[in-house]
Amino acid sequence: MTPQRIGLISSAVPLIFGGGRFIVEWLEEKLRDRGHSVETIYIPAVYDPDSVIEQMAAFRLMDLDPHFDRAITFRPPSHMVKHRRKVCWFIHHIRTFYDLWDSEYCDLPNTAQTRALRDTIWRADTAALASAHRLFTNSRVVADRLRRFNRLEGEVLYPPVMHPEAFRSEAYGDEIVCVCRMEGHKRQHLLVEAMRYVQTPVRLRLCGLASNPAYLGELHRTITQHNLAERATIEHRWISEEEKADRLARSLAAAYIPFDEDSYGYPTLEAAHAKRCTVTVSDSGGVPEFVEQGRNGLIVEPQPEALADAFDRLYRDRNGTITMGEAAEMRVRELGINWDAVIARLLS
Amino acid sequence: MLSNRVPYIRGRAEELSFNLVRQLQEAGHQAEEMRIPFSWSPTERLIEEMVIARSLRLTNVDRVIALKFPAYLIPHDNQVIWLLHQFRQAYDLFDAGQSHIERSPRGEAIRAAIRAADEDAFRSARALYATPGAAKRLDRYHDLHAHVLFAPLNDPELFSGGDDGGFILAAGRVGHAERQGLLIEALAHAPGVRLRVAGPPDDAAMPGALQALAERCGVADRVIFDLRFLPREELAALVNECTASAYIPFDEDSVGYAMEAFQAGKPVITSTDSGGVLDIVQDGETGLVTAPRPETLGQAMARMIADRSRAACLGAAGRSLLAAHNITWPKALERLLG
Amino acid sequence: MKMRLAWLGPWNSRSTIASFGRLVVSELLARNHDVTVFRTETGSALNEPSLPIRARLEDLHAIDGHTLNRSFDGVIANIGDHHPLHGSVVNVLEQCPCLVIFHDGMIANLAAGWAHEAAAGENSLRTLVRKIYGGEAWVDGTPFLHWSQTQMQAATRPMTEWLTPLAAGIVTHSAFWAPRMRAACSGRVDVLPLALADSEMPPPRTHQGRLVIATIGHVNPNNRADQVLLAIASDTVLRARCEYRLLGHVEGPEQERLEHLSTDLGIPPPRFTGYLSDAALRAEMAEVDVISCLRHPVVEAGSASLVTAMYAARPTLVSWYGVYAEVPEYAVYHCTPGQEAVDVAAHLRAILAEPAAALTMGQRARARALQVHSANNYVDRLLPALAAATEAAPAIAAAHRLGKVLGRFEIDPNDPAVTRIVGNLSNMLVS
Repeated sequence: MTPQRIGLISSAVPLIFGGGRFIVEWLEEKLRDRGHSVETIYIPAVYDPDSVIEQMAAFRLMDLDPHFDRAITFRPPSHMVKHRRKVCWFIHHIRTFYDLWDSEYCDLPNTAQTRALRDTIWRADTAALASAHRLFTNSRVVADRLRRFNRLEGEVLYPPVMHPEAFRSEAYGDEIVCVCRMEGHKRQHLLVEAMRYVQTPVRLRLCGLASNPAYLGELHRTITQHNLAERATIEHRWISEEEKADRLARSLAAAYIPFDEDSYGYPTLEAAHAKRCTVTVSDSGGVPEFVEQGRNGLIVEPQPEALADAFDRLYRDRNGTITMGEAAEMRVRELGINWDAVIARLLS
Repeated sequence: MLSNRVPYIRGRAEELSFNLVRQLQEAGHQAEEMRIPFSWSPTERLIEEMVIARSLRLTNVDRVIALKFPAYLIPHDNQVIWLLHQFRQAYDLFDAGQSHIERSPRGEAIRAAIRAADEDAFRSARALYATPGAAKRLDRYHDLHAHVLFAPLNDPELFSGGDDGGFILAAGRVGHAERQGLLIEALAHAPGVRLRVAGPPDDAAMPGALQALAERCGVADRVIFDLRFLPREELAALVNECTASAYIPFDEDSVGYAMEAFQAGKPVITSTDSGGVLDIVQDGETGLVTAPRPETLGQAMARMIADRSRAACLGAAGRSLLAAHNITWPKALERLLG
Repeated sequence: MKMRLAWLGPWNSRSTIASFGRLVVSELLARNHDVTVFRTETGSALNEPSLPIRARLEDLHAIDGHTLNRSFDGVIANIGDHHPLHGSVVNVLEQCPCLVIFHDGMIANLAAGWAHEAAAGENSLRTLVRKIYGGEAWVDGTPFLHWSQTQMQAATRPMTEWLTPLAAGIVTHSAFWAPRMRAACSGRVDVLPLALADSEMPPPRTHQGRLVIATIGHVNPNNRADQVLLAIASDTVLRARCEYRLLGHVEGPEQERLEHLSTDLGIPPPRFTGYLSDAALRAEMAEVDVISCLRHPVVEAGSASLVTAMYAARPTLVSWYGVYAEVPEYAVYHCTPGQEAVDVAAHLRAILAEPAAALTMGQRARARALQVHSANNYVDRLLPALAAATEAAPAIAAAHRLGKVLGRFEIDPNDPAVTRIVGNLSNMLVS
């Protein structure tokens, strides 16, 4: 394919780095590897009802056509930009105006006037996404919302990890590993609680940084209170890619149980690359798009006892666990989660 | 840290902004730079660009340091402006007849809009710093006093100086404004002097044109062209080896090249109309300042090569001057974060 | 669906807009909506006692536009040309573009009062006039308002365009001002016949060959009282049989003028009653045979006094344009605008000659008023207008904020850049 000038356009909150940025930065590198000229542009945005419309209009006013052959957009309101070849890799809506409207997560009262604001945003989003050359989402969860609220069909395009080759499989151990940011939303506390109820020698390892020291404290307290120190390990620090690969390579399986997440999450994918299945819960949102019950992982009720059962099952049925781990790796191929496929779609 | 970008263009301002972030992080702060796309042509577009900036919103930072137009128009309660340069096409370049903004009622309305937006931003910033050229313009066009803040060298340790390799170095962007062609013509008046031109050309035609010029002047055997973006270490090596640095742009703000030369203990040859560099290069003290003509420039280059120890003296004086001004990152951060 | 509504307007017993408000709000309450009334009077007018209503009553100063915009399902603002009654609404409109009922098309008095109170004074009023109407609209050295210059005022600087662009939707009670309002407002403009309660005037008597003609309400020169006097004076029969009464407050200079005119014409001056309470007015009306509702120039967007007259079942004289032209000839007596006297004289002679026919005209006027001007009819049409305004408001508010950003760049409101940039906003919302 002839080298193109490609703009990766996304919104960002300064100093917050995470999933929404990895997809952009990894794509940048992979596109460069294939010889394209890439610029990544992060533009500040605030999801504030009083100014969101003019922010959206500002993105739409930007002049990108002269500089790029193709513009790929990510986090809203970057999809509002105008470009003759706009490809939206739509990773989430501004959810307070969509599925979280009138919920505990929405600050606005629900009145006809605020609904008019919401409807205005819907109209603008719909028009901008409808005008895209291609519309992709990073999960079925987001595609479902696009269909439900914007009546648009988005093609699911799962984001790969940066270095799949960095993950490997060694001998299966006896640890369930969870490598991700430690916070209430990711619910590591349920994993720790589960260890109170396990009946096999299975162990738990949590790795990652906690954004809230109080949450970390809570985890430690649970461990102490219930004498779980021998069975549950917390590595609270920045985990390098190598360390992550290392923990997964020797684990029994992975656990990833966020609450209502938009996509399956990189941890699920990383585990699969290491031939490890993932234990998740029924209200984790997008994780069951990847994990299929009993085939390449386990999906249980979001309760400590149910999780304990799952851990025990993985320990007792070692062969079954290994089989599910291998199936998890195959699932990656089944779903076409690789950069060649992704880039072919993005540049189509 | 807010600045602009024109996609795929990366120059000194981009390096500065990148290094400012790095310095802030090394000092223990959390910092990130965001550079917003900027399209300044056609001139009508300038109004859109200002509206875009005014319509964006920022959160999660205690302080914003904004470097350029129109990035400093992005609203924030706690903004410090470090003006590298305002949009000169609306100000001094317009007055000098070098602006793409038309001399017409429409052009006037656009310039007035830029002035109004600038005034608003400069007056509501928590503090206003500027490089010397920008500060002079703030005074002249807005009657505003900004604290002068030089951009420290990004990597002074690379410019450690060294033995004099007996050539004149013309480093930096190679373009019409920088007038490397004039230096080539000057070589004809500096027998035996060798010149090295090293830096990224503004356009694809430049290398061929300069080579042809060197041949026409009969000096092609004494010029080495290295027309590309040089990695810092390579550039520093050249500065460390030269006898003197020649920097003769027409009315540029930039003093970075001169500072690099001084850091390496090398004198600077410049001309009377080169702009901001004259704030730091004094004729006969830290370099030579001549009229922008081939004969005078040629003489200056010849004098440097003929009298190496004098060159070294001037260079040492430049180095001391730099040290005396203490243009360092810790000092700059102190002021920007104060 | 039950809604939480905010009604912004004057709410004292001396204000016809307040009476109108109470009529409409009562109907909204009857339809089970939750209404909070925010009084918009400023200064001493706030001390006037409130009209009773079974709804929450607040002072608009106690809430900000942003909260209004968030907390209610709909906001309806009333604007009229009187600063003491409407002053506090102006500042709320910016943050809460809403449905605005313009009771007057010309709002120069409101503008002058607002500028004065905002302590911005004449300079900012001048800037406002210049921005909207251009430099020639208000010649240096002339006063902004002059009671005898209403026609010129209405033509050159009515200040309509000062507030109409802020509205998310407009209701006006006459088609007369609608085109101007549509030109200035990006929201929908609806023309609704004014809602007015039955004035419960005593029924007309069959006249016995003498006519009492009355003009009701606050009188100034554009009520054309002089034309009635000229008509009476033009004919010996009318001189002998007609008497003119002004039932309401008349401005001092106007009263003098009418007295002088009567003297010049050799007829007795009209009877001036001064301000009348509702009860006193009703008592006076028992003796009134004909009502004069002449107006020129038309400055009202809808005439409450016309509808009051029609409810009173009296033969009614109107200047035939503006809102008055919207009432058919079978219900009221049309007169040529600007030279009403001749037509008035003809109509009075006809009324004297055919008392039954005149009473029939009066009955038709009342029937029409009952049908068209009921609160039920009004609210049926108000609610869809409110829904449209609510839907349009977020985009209009954003366009406003953009306009202000451009204004701070000293860019003229008519500049093509404004059209382009606001156009980007509207295009954003079109699928």
